[in-house]
Amino acid sequence: MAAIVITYAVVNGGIYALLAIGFSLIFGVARLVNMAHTGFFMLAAFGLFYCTKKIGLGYIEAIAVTIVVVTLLGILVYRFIIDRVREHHAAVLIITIALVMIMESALLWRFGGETRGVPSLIGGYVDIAGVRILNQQLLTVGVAALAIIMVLLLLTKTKLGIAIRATAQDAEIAGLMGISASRILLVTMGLSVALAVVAGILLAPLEGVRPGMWGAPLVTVMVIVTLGGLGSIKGSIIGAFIIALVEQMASFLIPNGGYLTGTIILLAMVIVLIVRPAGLFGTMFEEEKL
Amino acid sequence: MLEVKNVIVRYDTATILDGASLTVEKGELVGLIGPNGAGKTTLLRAIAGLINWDREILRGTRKSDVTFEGSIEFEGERIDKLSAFEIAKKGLQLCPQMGRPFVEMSVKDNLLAGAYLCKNRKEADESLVKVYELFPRLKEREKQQSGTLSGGERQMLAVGRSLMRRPKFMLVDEPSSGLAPKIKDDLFKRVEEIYHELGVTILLAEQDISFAFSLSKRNYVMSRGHIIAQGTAQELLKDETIRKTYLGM
Ligand SMILES: Nc1ncnc2c1ncn2[C@@H]1O[C@H](COP(=O)(O)OP(=O)(O)OP(=O)(O)O)[C@@H](O)[C@H]1O
Ligand SMILES: [Mg+2]
Repeated sequence: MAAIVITYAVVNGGIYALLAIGFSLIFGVARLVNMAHTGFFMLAAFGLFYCTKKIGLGYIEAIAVTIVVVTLLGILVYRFIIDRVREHHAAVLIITIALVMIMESALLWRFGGETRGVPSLIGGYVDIAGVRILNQQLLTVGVAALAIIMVLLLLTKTKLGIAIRATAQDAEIAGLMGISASRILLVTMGLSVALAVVAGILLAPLEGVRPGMWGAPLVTVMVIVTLGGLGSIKGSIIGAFIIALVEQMASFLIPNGGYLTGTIILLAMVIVLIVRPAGLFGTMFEEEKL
Repeated sequence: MLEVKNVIVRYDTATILDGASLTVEKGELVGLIGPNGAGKTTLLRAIAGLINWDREILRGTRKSDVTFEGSIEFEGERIDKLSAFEIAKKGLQLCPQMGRPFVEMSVKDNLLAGAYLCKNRKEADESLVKVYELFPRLKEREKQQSGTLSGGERQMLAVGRSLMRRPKFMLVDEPSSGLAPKIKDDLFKRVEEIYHELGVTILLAEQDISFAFSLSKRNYVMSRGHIIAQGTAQELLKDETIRKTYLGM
């Protein structure tokens, strides 16, 4: 049973990490709390569902179309809506909450409320230590790991990554270096949404799609980034796997524990915050750096 | 090369710059001196496009309202409406007060951020070698997080970072503040080297008059948002009122 818990924790942890990194990244660079973050994740899951089941595209085409369309949508939403109110933090919260609710009702209106299945990219399973692990789950872990490594390399080794980090730390000085903050923010938003899109595409075949599917992951992501320190990429990754493990243990060890996972991770967050207000690694309540 | 005319900057109703004008010719090293709060930093920030930045950030918030009037020309082109990054692209580089490194990045990554405008990797690498030659200490500390550098090292990093993309014109804001005499002298030699060897035109804001006067041929004296005098060190020191009131000697 430990093996099952760990398997599920690793699979979910990978998806959570993708979501949390994106959420943390756009916060770190633009001080922007994007409540619509998991909305894009939901749109991506529906995108895959729609492309494969409704218009019958091949799997690879469906994935490509979904990534391009939803990421582009995220960039447009940023450019024409969020960017205009960027310096007003309360307005950003309100607008992004409104956005995700609009997304949900649009999906409800178009597809109805029930959960719909999405075919797996690869079928079959392997037996590891007596546990049946779906090939789709292995693929999910592999793709998530690859995406995480690529983001880390991008941020640490490339010119764009250095510009993103410089802007996150001191946008004014970055400007003096010739780095355009508005361009970097746009690129970062694209990157952030693209990660959420990958997470949505990975989750859809495992759990299906449903218009309310943005809610629980949003809470989970907020717990993760609070634990890991909002704005800390490393914290997001580690936090994601810790939370996924806690969730799986709760639902396996406690009878009917599936209903309690939300409560337990929120409790864990409260306790960590009381002991370490800045999160496990982080910078969350640090003064805003100008 | 640089022509500032009647620049006025107000935050809300506080007038910080009240019609400041100055010119710097190509190849000059000009001093900008004046006591605390005279408006030196504000003037350099205005030239580099950071007052525009403030305006943008504060737009529609209730924190403050910024007004900016007057004209600034660089190489015959108006730059006062441009953003900081566009001005940087023209070859004008501000080296900010207190150094302001990207504290969570290593010394080397800070320098690479300064190389953002380099055309290619090769140019950036060459600049890196040059900057390390100028400041061997930075090479030693290459991997260190810049937030843990000493004040002098931060200042060196800031100057080095500004040089990475080989600017035509540098605005240097109080490189000597808070440094021990020995480190000051060293930095002073480096600034001289940059001026002579790399042929960068420099406008240097300083409170340390001996530092400024020994480097610059011509100086502007600033007080309460105005340029109140200009001239060589000898000329300024000859004038009793200026010497007593503004130079504190
Ligand atoms: N953003 C701002 N809002 C309001 N007032 C400001 C702002 N920036 C600067 N000031 C004020 O403008 C005046 C001039 O400041 P500035 O930093 O330009 O002086 P300085 O000559 O560089 O002084 P120092 O030698 O101490 O660095 C100061 O009185 C300062 O308080
Ligand atoms: Mg100053």
